[in-house]
Amino acid sequence: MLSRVAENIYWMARYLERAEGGARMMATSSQMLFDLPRETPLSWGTMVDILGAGEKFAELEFEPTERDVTQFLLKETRFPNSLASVVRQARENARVCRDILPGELWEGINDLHYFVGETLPRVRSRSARYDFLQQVISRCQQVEGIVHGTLSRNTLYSFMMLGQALERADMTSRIVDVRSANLLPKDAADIYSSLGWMSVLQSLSAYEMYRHEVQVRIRGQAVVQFLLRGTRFPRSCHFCLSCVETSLTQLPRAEKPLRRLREIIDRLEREHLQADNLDSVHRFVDLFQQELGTLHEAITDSYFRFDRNDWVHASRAAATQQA
Amino acid sequence: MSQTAEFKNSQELFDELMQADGSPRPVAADLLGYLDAMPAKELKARVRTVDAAIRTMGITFTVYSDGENIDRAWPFDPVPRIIAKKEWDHISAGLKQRLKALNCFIHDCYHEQRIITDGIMPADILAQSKNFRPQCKGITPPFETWAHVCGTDLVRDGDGTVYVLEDNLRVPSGVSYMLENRHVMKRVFPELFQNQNILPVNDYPSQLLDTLVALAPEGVDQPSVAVLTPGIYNSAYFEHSYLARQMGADLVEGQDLFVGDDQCVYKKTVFGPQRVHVIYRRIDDEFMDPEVFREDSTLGVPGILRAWREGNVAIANAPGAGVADDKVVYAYVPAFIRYYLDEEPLLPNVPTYLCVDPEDRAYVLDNLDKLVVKPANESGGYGIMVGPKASVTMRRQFARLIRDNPRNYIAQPTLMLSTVPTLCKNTLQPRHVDLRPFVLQADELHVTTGGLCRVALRKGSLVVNSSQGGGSKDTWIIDEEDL
Repeated sequence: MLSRVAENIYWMARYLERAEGGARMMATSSQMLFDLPRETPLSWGTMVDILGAGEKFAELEFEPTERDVTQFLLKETRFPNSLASVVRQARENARVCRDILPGELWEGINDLHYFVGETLPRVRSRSARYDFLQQVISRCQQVEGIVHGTLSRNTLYSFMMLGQALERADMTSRIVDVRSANLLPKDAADIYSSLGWMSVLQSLSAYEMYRHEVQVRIRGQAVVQFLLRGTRFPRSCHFCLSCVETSLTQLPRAEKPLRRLREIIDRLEREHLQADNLDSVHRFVDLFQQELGTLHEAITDSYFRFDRNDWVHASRAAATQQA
Repeated sequence: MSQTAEFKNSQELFDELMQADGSPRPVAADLLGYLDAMPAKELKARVRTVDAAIRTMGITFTVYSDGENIDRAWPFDPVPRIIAKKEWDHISAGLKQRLKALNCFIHDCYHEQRIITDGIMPADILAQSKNFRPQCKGITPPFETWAHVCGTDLVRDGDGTVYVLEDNLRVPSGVSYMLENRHVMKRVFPELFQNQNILPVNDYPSQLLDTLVALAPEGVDQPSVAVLTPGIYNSAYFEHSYLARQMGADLVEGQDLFVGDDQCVYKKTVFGPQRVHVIYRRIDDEFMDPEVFREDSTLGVPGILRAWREGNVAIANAPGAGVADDKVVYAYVPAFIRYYLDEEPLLPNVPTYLCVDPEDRAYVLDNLDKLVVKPANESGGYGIMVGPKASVTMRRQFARLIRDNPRNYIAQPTLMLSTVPTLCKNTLQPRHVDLRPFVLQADELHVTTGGLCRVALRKGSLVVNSSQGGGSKDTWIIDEEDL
């Protein structure tokens, strides 16, 4: 597989997952904010911070109001991680490597692109927004279903899984962060605290699985454990990193990224997390995301970057072999 | 719905589906009967399905400087053009004959140039050719074939004669739309295909692959084939990607390839460098190798010409093949057929006046209001003047251009391109069409079954290029023996 194509596929998977994760995050936050008593001020700006987009948000002169934040996160084409932008990117990447994707997969992504383009301008009310986000999630899942049902388990699949799992780990950690960050006022009553964790679980489609596996009432400590370190739930950070590991072991020249990955898994397993101390969760998630960034760098170095000297050397070796 | 009213053929117009008296031609009777019987509402619904299918399948073409939305849905008309198999067999033989002669000519240009020494073509024409590449002199590609893929534009004039309008043998495009048009038609009008013997078109990708594989350097068991594209912003990117997918070949950009110290071409893969044996290139000569042609090209691969000269990689079409894709050279193709093949041309050329010839030039300058003037080396319908439709200023401008650079211009009589009924706002109206079949040559010759039929969607317009408001139609070859 061409390095350029591998990079494209990897990013396509990331963008798709980012679209789904972003939709999940926005749906959760909105639901959580609406559950709060009317007199509590809603802090919409936090969602922007969670996506690490504060600077761009300020630069484009948006205000932290419901209207501006949703406009920014959903529609803003000048913000590269808005839903509209990532869906367009995913489709662009798919278009560039259409020649190697199953036809249905391309059609699924193309459909998602048209759906978002046509529906977004009409999303004006809260309820329309909620429906829209649910639709985006379900269309993304449809695409994922096509991936699992039609792609051979080859290099293409490995790069796709690599991108998806990495992005999913990142998005799950951000959604946990929605709850742990100061979206809720510090003095919000207990009842809201547990409601908040419930919507986090629901947003990741994790509610039933949590109930089944953990069998205690919804408590912050247990939810954080489940979503960050759970080994069986497919959207937990730990599970996603295991998927990254599986994909990497199927690829050539994986030594460096694998080494980096094992360090991250190791820290995730050892770190002492206190969910009742929201600041500590927030700090951990922050660090975790930075580490995923270094893992991405290691992957890029191994597969996508091209150092001509290395390659000319390798081509000589290949030529000798063939001769 | 009834379509006959619009189709009282005047004497100068030839409709592909209707006879002069307004009745359907025998090969089109089934189709027109079917459309006649279809309620307008049903037809409308089908057209909507066509649009949806095109969008879902992502059949697009790219428009330059169209801002953000760089690819557009492909404009498609659901009424096909129909050609009887007997006529097609003749055309097909004529196309093969033509490409064979063109390849003899190209090979001759880069070797003895007998065509000049024997006095068939003046030396000036080659000397002043924009697409003659001295760097290719003395090279002998496999089968002495330079143009492996040729898109030949055919038009039918008012009297029913089919003419060759031009031979595109640099990087001709359109074949993927031909294939997708059929795909869409079968998806939306399946019953039409059940009851008639419409010849299939879908063997083109395998024929193209066979052609390319035949060119591989000797001794290579399983040649690796790559399609070289300028990238996603090229107007034919959809096609590059489509063909690569259909052939199971890698779609590469220049940056994906490099030439090793062993003068072989490699692609950069996640497994390390891997040899490439055959390149189906969809970028122009000039951009292929910054070491040899344009230094500023970032689309090409430095050293690729060296690898080609050494015979380590095959390139289709071969660099330099464009020397025959020149409207002045075009005028000599019938002479090439007689000279190289000792045969009479099966398909006529459109009468062509060469502005480089003083007598022809005088005639052209006197008759600019009747002629179509074309630059010798452009494609895509750019830089053309259609005399009868041009303004006085425009004609004056072209007169100046011709006097300044006569070698670069030719003129032809304005042909009344044949028409095919076309769906315009729910009624069928005649619109002008042309046809681009694709011809392949390596160890064997192949011609597509039919070709890409392009249609000028604007009333009265003779310009069919998709970059200029043209659309396309499916083309059916029907065996009339079965009727």
